[in-house]
Formats: sequence, C-alpha cells, structure tokens
Amino acid sequence: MLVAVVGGAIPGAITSAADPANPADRALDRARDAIHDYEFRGTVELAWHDTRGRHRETLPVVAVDGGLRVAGGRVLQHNGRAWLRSDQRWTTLWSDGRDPAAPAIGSKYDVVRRRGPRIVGRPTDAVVIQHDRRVVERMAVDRETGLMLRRERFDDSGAPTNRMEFVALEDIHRRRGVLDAPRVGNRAPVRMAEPPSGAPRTLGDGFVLIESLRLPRQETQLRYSDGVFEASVFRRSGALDWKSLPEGGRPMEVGSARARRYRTSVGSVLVWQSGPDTLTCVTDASGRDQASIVADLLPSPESGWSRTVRFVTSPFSWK
Amino acid sequence: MTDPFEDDRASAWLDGELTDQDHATFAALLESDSAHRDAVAEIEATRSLVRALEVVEPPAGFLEGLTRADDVVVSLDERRSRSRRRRSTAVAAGLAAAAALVVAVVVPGVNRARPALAADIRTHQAGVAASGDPVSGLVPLGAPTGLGR
Repeated sequence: MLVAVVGGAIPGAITSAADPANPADRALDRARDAIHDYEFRGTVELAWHDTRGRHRETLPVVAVDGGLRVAGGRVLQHNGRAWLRSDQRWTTLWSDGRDPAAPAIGSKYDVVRRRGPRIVGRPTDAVVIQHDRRVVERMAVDRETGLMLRRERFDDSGAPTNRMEFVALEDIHRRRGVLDAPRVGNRAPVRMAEPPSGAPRTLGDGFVLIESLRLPRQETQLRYSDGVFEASVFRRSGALDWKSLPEGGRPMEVGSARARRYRTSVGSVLVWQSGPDTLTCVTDASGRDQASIVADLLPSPESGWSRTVRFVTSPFSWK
Repeated sequence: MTDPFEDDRASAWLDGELTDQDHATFAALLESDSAHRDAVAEIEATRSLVRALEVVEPPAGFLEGLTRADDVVVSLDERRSRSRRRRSTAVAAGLAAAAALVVAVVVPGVNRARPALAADIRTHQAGVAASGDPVSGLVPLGAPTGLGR
C-alpha cells in the first residue's frame, strides 16, 4: 500500500540539513532515538557480496543504558561516539557526536513509504529510496520503537549489495540507566574548524562536504554525503607503498594512475596515488557514484589542496 | 634497461614524481617491455631491502664527520699522493653512500604512504553510525573486515 511519495531530485539544489518531513530522514532520526531511549537484546545478520561470492555474519547486539554494544561488547557506541575494544584497551573510533548536517535525502532521491513486512514478529513501516526510478535502498522500521530492523542496499544493476536484518529481538523496554562510557582517547579523529584549503566542497552527483577531520600522523579525512550514502576521502602525504596494501583487491585505473579496489562489508575501498599524496576513498555508494566522486578528485591545475597539505606536513622527520 | 635516464625515470615512477603524461607513457612502456618491468622490479626490490633494515640513530658527530672526509688527503710524494687520493676518493664515495643509506634507514617512511585500510574503514563506518542508523552502521565493525575483490 503506497502511503506517500516525498522528495524529488532538483539539479543543483542541495540543502544542508535533513528534512524532518521526509520519511527517510525521519526514519534515521527515530532509529538513533531508539538506541537512546530503549534497551533490548538481539541478533543481527549481516550479508554482503563481492566477486568471491556472498558472505554472511551473525552478531549479537545489546542496547543498554543508552549505549549500543556489538559483538559481545567489542564495539560500543554512545551518543554518537564509538569505541573498539582490544584486550583491555579501548580505541576511540569516533569522538564527535554532533550532527554534521548531511544533505536532506529529498535533495537527490525520491522516497516512498509503505506498509512493511513483519520482522522478528514485529510490524514495520517500509521506506524505499529511489534514484532515477531505481531502488537504491529499502528500510524496515519497527513501528513501535523506531528501531531499524532491516536495511538493504542495491547497486547500479539493482542487485543487492549489503543487507542488515534482525533475526532475533527480545527484552525490549525503556532505558533504565545511564552508560558509563569509556573516555575519548587523544588519538581520536578531531573535527577541523575549517576544511583544508582547496578541499572540494562537492563531489560527484550531489555529494556535499559535511565534515573535515584531523587524524593522527597529519592525515586528514573529508566526509561527504548525498543524504543516503557517504564517502570518506583520506589523504596521506607520500607516494603509495603498494606492497603495504592487503592481499586481494582488484587493479583499476584512476585517470592515468593505477589504483586498487576492495569490496568489504561496508562498501568499497579505493586507494591510489595522486601526485605526491596517497588517497583512499571508502564509500557505500554505488560504483557509478564512486566513479564520479573519484573523477572530481583527480588533480587539476586549480586544485591547491594537495599542495597545501604538503606544505603543512614536514617532509622529513626524525621521529 | 641500462640507460641511467631510464633508471631515473623508473625511480620517479615508483616515487610518483612523474607528470600525468609521463606516468602514462611510462606505464605503457612497462606494459610492452619486459626488460623495463624487470628493471622496475629490481629497483623496488632493492628499496624493499633498505626499508627492511632496522631503524638506527646515527652516532653523535657522524654526519658532521662526513663533511671532513677530504681532510684525510695528505701530499707526501706524487705516487703516494695519487694512491691516497684514490683511497680518499673511494673513502669519500663510500661515506657518501653510507650517508645516503643512513638517511634512507633513519627516515624509512619518507615520501612513502602506507594506508591502514582497515583503520580507514573503521573510522569511516563509525562516522556513518554516528550520523545515520547506529545498528546498521555499527554492526559491520564487529564483523571481519574482509577486504575482498
């Protein structure tokens, strides 16, 4: 049953904030609130595919005291911050819980809301996101709590690429306590007040720079979003040491430079050398979107980002 | 590939210092010429050996001492002088090579980027989980990275 159609791509019109009236934006807001407001225990199945075939992983998830624990507590998220535990140490993966003001989904995509399937015995609302009349993502949101119970993504051909689905969910109730979260480590990514000089503000088809971060060792991360998909571009000073890359991957060309592409459970990773620097693009966007993103990152005479980064990074160090 | 200019070009190619046009030309040459491919592999293998050496600090005064290498030349008679000049030239050349090696060993990461792709994926995905749905964003971080083709 079709309930609503919202949005519509308007070329060149990119807003800078999510639209609370859009069902997809609202679904994501509710999903975040659900982790904050509810406690539960569940099992999630993750599926993705690459050229070696289809992969599945099943992981336990627990929401308690406003935090989310995955894989037996190895990964923890609270108020937008995230940590990874190894042995007895916590590594801060993300320290910035502020909203990076991603573009509204309706800026580029059409969104259809309809009655969803029952998942783990619970009624859902389905949100279908389309671009050029092609489904790129389907969500199924728990009608009562707003918890995202299923999320599927599709590539340019319409084939599924990634899927997350609850296969068990129990003991749902309102939050009772407040999480005593680990401290934020001093090597966590830090949001920069201003993007690096010359960093592209837009990339590809509607991807907008939403955040710039300083990482350890003078590396930078630029985050782009088109409202549905995200792309991170990591820049490091120096020529790419090909032998340092993991096994696997597929050789590709980026402009006149060679590159290597990997597929993972979160999307694809492309790494290549650009002038004196090495770039890595991690994204869950389709192959077509990734190609258009990378095309906008190719060196051009008016691009000053790489030169700027090179100047602020000492070429020699004894430490 | 015995042409020293070609060696320089191969080194520049490995270092990413060629212009886009030269890079494309040289890449095409590598496609068509196995001798060039072998030479590039040899240069890369040599660099790998140097990179694999343990990082050491130069002893105090070592680098300053290099600049005084020519002081060992002492004129006594012409034959001995020529002999010593040859030796001192060899010593200076050896020390210069050692200096280059020291620089390469002490600063092994210079102009080399070794992206930690698994860390990049985790950082990216943690950001995705922060601004989107926490469950679908965070769950992949509990699964193997699985860098497949």
